[in-house]
Amino acid sequence: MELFLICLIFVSVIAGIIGSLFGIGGGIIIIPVLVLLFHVSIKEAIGASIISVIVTSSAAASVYIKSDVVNFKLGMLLEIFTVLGAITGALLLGVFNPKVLLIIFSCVLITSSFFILAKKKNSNLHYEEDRISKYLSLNSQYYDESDNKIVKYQPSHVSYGFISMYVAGLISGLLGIGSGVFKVTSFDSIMKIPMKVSTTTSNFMIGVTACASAFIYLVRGYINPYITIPVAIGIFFGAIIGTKMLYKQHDNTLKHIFFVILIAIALEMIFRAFGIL
Amino acid sequence: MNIRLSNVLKIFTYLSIAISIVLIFIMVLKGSVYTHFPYKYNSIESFLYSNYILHFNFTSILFVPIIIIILAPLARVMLSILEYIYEKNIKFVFITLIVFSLLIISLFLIS
Repeated sequence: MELFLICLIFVSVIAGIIGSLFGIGGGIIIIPVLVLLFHVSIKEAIGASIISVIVTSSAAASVYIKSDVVNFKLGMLLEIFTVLGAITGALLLGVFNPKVLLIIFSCVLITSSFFILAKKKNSNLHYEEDRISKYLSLNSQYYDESDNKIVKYQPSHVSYGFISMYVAGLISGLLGIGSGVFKVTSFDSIMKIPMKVSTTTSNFMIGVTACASAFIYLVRGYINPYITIPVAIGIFFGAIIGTKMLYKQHDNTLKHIFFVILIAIALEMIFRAFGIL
Repeated sequence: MNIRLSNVLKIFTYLSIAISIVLIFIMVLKGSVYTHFPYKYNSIESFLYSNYILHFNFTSILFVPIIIIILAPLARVMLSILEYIYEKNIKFVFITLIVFSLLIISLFLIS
């Protein structure tokens, strides 16, 4: 029993470190680990993951929001859509067969791995006048310490952002992950927001999105406290260690190894869903 | 606004983690681990009034840090509403109220 707990905490710490290093959160790693190594049911693994997502997001957000990088207004506006998506996803969780969930999770895992591989530091920012953005005064600015200058920006294509955030919320609610990769990608590629603002605002939003689905998971009995508490503690401390570790963003070898591991995990989960393994 | 929000999130997160660490030690001492949680609920009433939640036992105590951490984002949204009212930013009071209402609705959707 004690060994099970210790192993669970240890593995969660590792998941937290890896998640933090690659900026994807621990959820996407801990779910396959719980299912494949600890033989926890996929729904309980998802329940444990969603609580860990709230813990790490709240802890990170408490640090980020002291700076002026987070765009609170944009985050709050988009939270309407991520929360709606999360509620839809959490309700669908009860409908789907565990095998279908394994397949959906594997597909999201494969997509996320490609996003991580293709992750770039900054995309070309060319802003277009947006009515919603102008009406709600969503434009903002922040001081970029690395470039030693003030960066001004205005979110573009906010209405497309609503749709992409609903999808991100749906994935989060259905699979118990933060879906930060999808949020950051839509901030960066669709709304043309600087990468620093994208990552911090996305992190700020993840907790609220997860909160909506966590209520539903809790009441439905998908949150097993005997699994959730060790996993949440492990991922929390793993994320702290991960942020303190020196990591070179351009270390492509590490990125490629991680990509191969994620694809292998996804394939194993698909094989398991089809009863091949 | 930023400092207040940061402090609220810190209080909820660290309180939840501190209680969880204590509970982990108790779990190790008790040797209680259930890989498959046997209790399923169909409504808020069945969740709250089941023998394992409102009755004072170890399993019900285990839910305390989980509920504290789930309440952290909710507290953050509530604080944002107050801040926007203070700033007299009516548009964002309305937007934040929608987010808050959706979170509350999610609580009762299952009932």
